[in-house]
This record gives sequence, C-alpha cells and structure tokens, in this order.
Amino acid sequence: MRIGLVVPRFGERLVGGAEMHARQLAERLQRAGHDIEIVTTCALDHHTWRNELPPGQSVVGDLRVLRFPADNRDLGIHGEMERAITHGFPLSVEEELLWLRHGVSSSAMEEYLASSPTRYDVVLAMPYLFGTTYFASVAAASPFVVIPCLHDEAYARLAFVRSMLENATGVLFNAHPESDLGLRLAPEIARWEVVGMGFDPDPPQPPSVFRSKHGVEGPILLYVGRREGGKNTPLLIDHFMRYKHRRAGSDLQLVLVGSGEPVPKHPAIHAIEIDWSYRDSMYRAATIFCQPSTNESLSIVVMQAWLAQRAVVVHADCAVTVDHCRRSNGGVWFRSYAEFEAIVDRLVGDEPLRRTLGESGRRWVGETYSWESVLDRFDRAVGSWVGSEAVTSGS
Amino acid sequence: MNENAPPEIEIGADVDVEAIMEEIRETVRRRRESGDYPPDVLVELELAETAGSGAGHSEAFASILSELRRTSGFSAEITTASQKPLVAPVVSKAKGAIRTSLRWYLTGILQQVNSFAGNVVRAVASLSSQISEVREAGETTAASLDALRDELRNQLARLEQRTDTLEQMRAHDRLSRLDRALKEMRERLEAGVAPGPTSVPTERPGARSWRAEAAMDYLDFENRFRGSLEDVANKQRAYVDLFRDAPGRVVDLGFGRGEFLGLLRDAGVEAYGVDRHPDMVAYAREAGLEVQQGDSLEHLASLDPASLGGIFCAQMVEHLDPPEVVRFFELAADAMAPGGTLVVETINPESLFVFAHAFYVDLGHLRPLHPLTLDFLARSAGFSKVRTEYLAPIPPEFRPQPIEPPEDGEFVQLVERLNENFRRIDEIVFGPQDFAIVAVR
Repeated sequence: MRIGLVVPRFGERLVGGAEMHARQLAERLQRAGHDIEIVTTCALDHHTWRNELPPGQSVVGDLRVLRFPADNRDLGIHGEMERAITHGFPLSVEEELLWLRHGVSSSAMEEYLASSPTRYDVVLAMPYLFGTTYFASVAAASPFVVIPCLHDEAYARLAFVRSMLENATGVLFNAHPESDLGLRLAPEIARWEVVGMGFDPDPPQPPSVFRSKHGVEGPILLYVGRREGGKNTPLLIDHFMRYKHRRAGSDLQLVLVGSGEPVPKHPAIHAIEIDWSYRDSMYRAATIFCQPSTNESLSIVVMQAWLAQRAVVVHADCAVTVDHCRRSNGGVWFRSYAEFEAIVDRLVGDEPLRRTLGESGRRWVGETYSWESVLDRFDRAVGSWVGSEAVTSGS
Repeated sequence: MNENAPPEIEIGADVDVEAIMEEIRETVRRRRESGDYPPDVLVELELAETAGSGAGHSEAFASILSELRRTSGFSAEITTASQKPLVAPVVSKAKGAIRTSLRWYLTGILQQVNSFAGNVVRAVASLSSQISEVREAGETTAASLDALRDELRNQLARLEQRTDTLEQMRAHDRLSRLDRALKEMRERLEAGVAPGPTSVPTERPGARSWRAEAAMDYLDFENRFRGSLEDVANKQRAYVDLFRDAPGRVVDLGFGRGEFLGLLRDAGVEAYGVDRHPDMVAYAREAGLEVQQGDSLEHLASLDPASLGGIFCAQMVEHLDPPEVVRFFELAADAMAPGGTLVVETINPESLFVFAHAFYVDLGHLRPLHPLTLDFLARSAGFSKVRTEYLAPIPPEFRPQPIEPPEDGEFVQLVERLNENFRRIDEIVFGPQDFAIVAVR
C-alpha cells in the first residue's frame, strides 16, 4: 500500500511515545513492503512549534519525509481555549477549531493532501489532539485512518474528536481499554481494530553495564520516561521516600531515567538521562519496573520492561496499564501508599514471583505485540478498509 | 551468575495477578488493623477506597480529591539547588545551611501542619461520602417522583379517554333517538298521517294497563295488597340515602300512596310526585305532599333537559308496554341532571314465587321485566354506575324447610342430599320478590 503517515513533528532524536510509535510503525511498514512517506511539519519543538527544518523532501533513517511549514500561531487564543478546556468550560465547534489551528497545523500540508487523491492508498494520522491530525482528516482526498492514541482526559471529550473518529475510514487503537474509551466517545465509529505497535527484545545485555556506569547498588525501583506531574512521577518519588522512611533498613534505590522536573536530593534517588545504547541492561538492572502514570494509551516502557522479563507495578487508575497487567499476568497495581508499600515489600522479598511475573509479561508481549502480529492486524484491517491487497512481509 | 549472558528464566507455576492483588489487599487490611499506619497513610487509604468504590463523584471532584490527597503531605525537604549562573554553588550551600539550621524548628511545625492537613483531608473524604449518599437518595426520590408523575399522567390520559368515550356514547344515544324519531315521522308522512310531536304517542302511555286499573278502585286495591304504609315505608327507607345529595329536585313517578315522598320530606330532600290515579293524588295531597296528576312519561318529556336531581320509580314500569319501558329510560336520562340518581324498582321475575303471588294479583301488570333488560336499557340511555339490588326476601315460613339430619345411621347422606336439592330449588323458586336498578346520570 502507498501510505502517507501524518504526524505533527518527526526527527532523528525525538523520543516521545507518539513519535517513537510513529517512527517504528513507519519503519516496520516500509520493511514489510509498504510504500511509506512521512508527512509532517518543519517544527521539532512541541512547545513552540517553531519551523526549524526546511520544507520539502528529506530522509530520516530509511524513511522519506515530506515537510510543510507549520502555520503561525496566536498563543493568546490558544492559551485562552486551553484554559477553558482544562477547566471544563464548554467550547463551540468554532472555538475548538481555533484551539487546534493555533496549536499546530499546516495549511500547506492540507492543500497538499486535498490535491493528491492518487498519491496514497491511505492517509494515516496520529495522535488525536493535534491540528495536523484533525485537519488532515478533513482535507485528505484519500481514505483516512486515524491512530488516535486516546487518553481519558478533557481533550478527548471535545466535539471534533468524535467527529474525526466517526468520519474516518477506520480507527486503529493501541489497546482494548482505549478502544472501549473510543467507542464511548464516538459510538458510531465505522470500522476499528486494536493494532498498537510491536516490540522486539533488545540483544541481551548484563545489568552490570548499567549499574557500573551509574554506580547504583542494591535493588532498583526503575522508572523510564519524562519526570513530570502528567506522568505522576512526583507521586512515585513521594511514595518511595515514605517507603524509605518506614523501611529504614531497606537498600532499595529509585532510578528515574529520562529528563524533566528536578528530583529531591536523596542518596537513594537517581535521576539519569536516557541512553538507549544499554537499554536492555538498564531494564535488567531493575528489581521492579514502575509506571505510575494514569494517562497511558499503550505505555511503551512497560512493554520494554516485560521484554526484559521485569515485574511491573502500575497505578490502579490507569485503565490501559492495569488491563495490560491483567491480560499478561505480568504486573500488579497500587492505588494508595499502603498498597505501594505492600507490593514493594512483597516483590523485593520474593525473587521467584518477580521472575514469574516478568516471564508472563514477556510471553504476552511476544504474542500480542510482536511486530509480526501487529503488522498482520494492520494489513488485515487497513487492507480490507481501503479495498486493496496488503503487501506482505518478505514478498 | 554469569553477567554476560543472563540465564533463561524458568517459569514456575502460572501466576494469577488477581490473587496477588488480593494478597496485597489482605496485607494492607492486616497492617491497618494492627495500627501500623500513621494518620497520613490512613487518610490516603480512605480516599483511595472512596475513589476505588466510584462513590458517585463527578470527574472534577474526583480529580480535586486526588490532588488533595497528593498534596496533603508536607515536607521540609525543599530543594536547595540554584539555577543562577556562577553563584549557584554558593547559593545552594547557603540555602542548605539555612535548611539544616531550621530543620528542628520546621519539623515541629510540620508535624502540626501534617496532622491538621490529614484531618482536613479525612473530613473532606467523609463529607464527599455523605454527599454521595445524599445524592443517591435524591436520585432515588427523583426516580420515584418521575414514576409517580408518569403514573398520574397515564391515569389522566385514561380518564380523558374514558370521558371522550362517554361523551361519544351520549352523543350516539341522542343521535339514535333522533334517527328513530325521524324514521317514525317519515313512516307517518308516507302513511298520510300528519306528523305530530314524537314524544306524544298515538295512544297514551300505559294505556292498556290504565284501562284495567281505571275499571277498579285502585286505591282500595293498593290498601289491600300493597302492604301497610309502614311496611312499604320500611322497605323503601334504604333508598333515601341515595337522594340526600341530589343535584336538584327529586321526582317520585307512580308514587302510589306517597310513602317514599313522606320519607324524602322527613329527610329534608326536596321532592314531588306524579301519578295518574286521581285517588292517589288526592290521598297524597291530604298527607301534605307535593304531587300532581299525570302520566309519568309525558311528565318526563315535558321537563327541561337535565332539570331533575333524581328519579324514584317503584312498582311502575311493569305497568308499561315494552316500547314505553325503553322510552321511559331515554326520557329519564334526558331529564336528569349530571350526577342525579335513578331508582327503578319492580317485581323480580327470577323468583318463580312471585308468579304464584304478587305479579298476577295486579290487573295493571302487563309483563315482568328482567333485571338484565333494565340494566341494559339504563346503560343504553346513558346512565352509568348501573347496579341491581335485590330486596323483599320471601319469609322463611313460605319456603321449604330443611330436614333435620339424624345423628348417624344410614339416612345421614340421604338427608344431606335431599337438603342440598331443596336449597337449589329454593334459590330458583323463592328468590327475592323485588329488584331495583340503581343508576347515575
């Protein structure tokens, strides 16, 4: 299939979940024989959306990229609408479109999509709350399939979301709880499938690589991702410090890998920058992997932790990660400090249980989120929706 | 452990995370009961349980509660890091020194603040639970009220429908009568007879009966066979209550010796009587009753529509020819005000006894009228709440007496069967002598 993949930004060093998802999906689809072109803006920074790269064709890795300048933004309008949304005030359709237009969008990209009906068999776009995605859904002359990466949040209840999901040729969700949410928000979605993205285990690396590089000794409670309120890392730090206070003899270490907010100075808390070159070693060094975020539509790092056979602990308020744990039998969840404490006590002190959880998780990711099964689901769903023969891997 | 090649993990028995979660919850329960948790952990636990139970919080409120829970713990561990270029190390160090020197003081205050914050959070959590309960109760009440409102609406709709039906029936009745009158006029025209008012038949109402009664002394006859004034009054006393709240004057058609008019007068009900026998009229006038001589049907036809508050008519309709009986009910319905009561009493043909006694005693009786017939005529004329009441039971001495069964022996069963047969015969032969149709306009 000739596929145009619309994303708000695309670059070599972008490591956000949606960016990684888009890039890996594109690479895998291309490797499987599909003709992929990334359609994006010239911007890289998701705060300013400033045009940094030249418009036109370029290549990132093995992927063809077509860039269009992002439109000028009125931050005042955007900020006003943003406040209204987050405080729960109702917005008119026109106001929602203003919010999208002054977030990130590209009129040039829309003109291109509208005037190229034969260039792509299907236009894919992701994630749901960017102007590039919504306006592509309106402009695209080809069949349009959206990968929304929905979260249960105020933005998801805006009217444009329902309209986009219901008017799309089809919708690809990442996980079952996300499809449940999608169907609640937009009951008349025409076609949908849970596809997600695939994960391959990294080449095995010993935990000592990570430990020696960062001088961390003792059992490790690991978190990977941005350190920010939206990811619930302040809660994780709070729980960890209370744990250390109540378990004075514990040598448990909290390792936070990623950038973001500063962490309290504490001998057992380690804030470390991401370096994917020893990713497997990092995960294997973990005694327990914790994902405290309550807003995940897939959680790539949970999948990676399971691929490294780690026991996973997630927040009980995140439907998606709890669903992962239940389906895989690879993790448990906490809603209060008391539960967090009981879980950490139990897992730190029970190595066979950790191994069993980790292996259950690994097996489930392998079965459900291997690239082979993901691409198979993608081909069957999108292939049938756009009425063309899917190109299969290795042909 | 060979660090360069992590060992392949062997899987033990299949794990069930739900079971592990149950263990975790059990651990938490145990620790809580043993008093292991400080107040802040307890508060958070209570809030988490409230949130977990989904106790009807709105999304916004749940979010505020969650934020309150997250921020309810205060710490003296404020960062001493400085972002200022060049002087950052000095500033950080100074901040660190201040923090260390004040720690003992801040810790004391913070304990109080934490305690206060914990209590506030608990209070809010408790309030939120109570609000949820109140809201649930309110929702239940609202649901009941909705159901009640729907039921009332349904009942109203049914009543409206019934009113419509009644109106249609009434209109249909009047139309039928007009049709019959028209047909009669046409027949008379075709027969070359000048059309007269339809309410006046060619022969006076009850003419056949009247001819028989007029040939004899009917007052004397009544005195002999109708029963004493007192007996009749006692028998009719039960009807008085039906007319106490009559919406207008009550007429007693064929009042006879005026027994019922006397009862109505005693009860303070405004009433008058119409009878065709001059002797009866004179007799009643002597008793001070308001009466007039005339034919009952003609009198009804002469009245303004809906002008009567009630009609009492005892032992009269059996003196009418069948078409006149039909006409009687129609005229009664026309003359009666809404809510007015009609009582028509006559001999009960369901009792065979009356044919051996009362019915054929009176030469003026033309034919017995069955309760079902009068019920039908009343309804057809537009009366509602039509019911039949039986009265004047035959005294036991006239009726077959059951045989006293022997205490034992071979005849016990035989006697019981005989008595049962008597009972069946008694029902048919010795039923009540009179019945009355009671109906409301």
